[in-house]
Amino acid sequence: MERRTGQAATGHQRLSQRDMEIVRAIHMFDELDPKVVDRLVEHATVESADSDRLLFSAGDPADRFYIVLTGRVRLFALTAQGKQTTISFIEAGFSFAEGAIFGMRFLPVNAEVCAGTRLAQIPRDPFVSQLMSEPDLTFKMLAALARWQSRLIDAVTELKTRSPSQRFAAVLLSLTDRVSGPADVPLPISKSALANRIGIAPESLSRVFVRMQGLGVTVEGSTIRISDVTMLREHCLQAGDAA
Amino acid sequence: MSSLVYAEPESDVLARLKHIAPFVALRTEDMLSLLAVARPAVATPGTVLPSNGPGGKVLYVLLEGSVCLMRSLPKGQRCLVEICDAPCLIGEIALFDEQSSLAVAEVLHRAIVVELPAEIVRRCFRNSPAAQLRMLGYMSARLKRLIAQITTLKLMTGPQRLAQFLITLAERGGNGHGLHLPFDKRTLAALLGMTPESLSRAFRRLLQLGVHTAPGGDVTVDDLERLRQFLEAETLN
Repeated sequence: MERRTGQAATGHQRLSQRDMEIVRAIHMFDELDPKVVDRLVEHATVESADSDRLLFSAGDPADRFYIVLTGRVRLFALTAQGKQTTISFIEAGFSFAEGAIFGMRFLPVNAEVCAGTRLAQIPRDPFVSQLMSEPDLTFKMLAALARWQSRLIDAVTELKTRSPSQRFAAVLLSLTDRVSGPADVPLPISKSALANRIGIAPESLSRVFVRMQGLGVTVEGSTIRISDVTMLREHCLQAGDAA
Repeated sequence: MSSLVYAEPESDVLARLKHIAPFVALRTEDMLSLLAVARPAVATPGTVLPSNGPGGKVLYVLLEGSVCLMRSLPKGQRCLVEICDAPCLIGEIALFDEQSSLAVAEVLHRAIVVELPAEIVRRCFRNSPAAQLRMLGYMSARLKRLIAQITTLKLMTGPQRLAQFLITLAERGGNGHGLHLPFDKRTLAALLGMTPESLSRAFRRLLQLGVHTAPGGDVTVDDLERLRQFLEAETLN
């Protein structure tokens, strides 16, 4: 595995308009005006990886943070026996290592960038200087993180307390104004996006559709027919199991 | 129901407060004003930390012990979202976004907490950009833990989630073979998003991978590497 060459790494480019859209949409910047975000990250550059390689190691200086533009990054630690243990994968649209630049001088974990991944790397010093000079910005970012934390707690609750068919039913109920009787609901997203939304593998979706038939829900093209909205709501309220 | 038992304000637990991230970066005068209103307390298991104190909303700093963070559900039930171990903050969402609904915090293991009025904490942080940055780092890390949990719930089966929990427990304890569950199986099932019956099935599945359970919460893992391979192989697909 190749090691990054630090600030002198070749191939760094400025961010494109499409890249900036991804950067502006990360959780931390949710409450900020897009122009403010552009100013905060004006020193950002793109780093691309042609092959799997080590991006940084635990103990390296925390002098920048990253946003995944495409592809993914694996964060991992080393066990006492020297084995790698994956902590998490960071997918496109998410940031990493920002906790370290705000609080620590050194990175606490290792990161491996997967082949084909593009990253926005944002140098710490100009970013932090801007924040230090405008405390209102930091408070807005804290508000955004607090709001996201609350939303994610809701998402965890939903995943833990409802079965996949109950989560699917909840999506359908959110798409209709009917409170009883039959309803036709246009499916506004692809089946793979639907699977992601309810938290199952795409290949498991057909099993959920079979389960839904027993609850009077059928699929006709891109329309979903609900025979009885009341029955669907009652199914949602039963105790579930995410396993 | 158990309740908080407040200690004397001059208790030495206050001295520990200033070493907790993100308070380390507060200005000295702000830290002193916080210490002047801080209320240290001891809480036994089962105690629910009240989200409102005498002067309004409160922030808790958990110095010792652990708490279950739960979301209230219709019909009076609660969902266990995560278990937070000391040192950590409880109720920090309300500091920066008063509209967000609050989670309920119930003490799992005997806890020492410091109760702080949210309004005064907010004022102290307004005075210190450096402390705000520390708080950003703290809240980013908290967000990442929740995202990781959502990924786990979406992508892993029950046995995989249990395997991941046991691997983490083993790595924290530095002992790959003999483990002791830090809480009862009902709490573990809730933490992993399973019913107790599903957890039993998951343990039966892991028995084939050399995970043995004994009464009292003792667990033996014959081969931790085998458990890691089971997790990694399934997760990467």
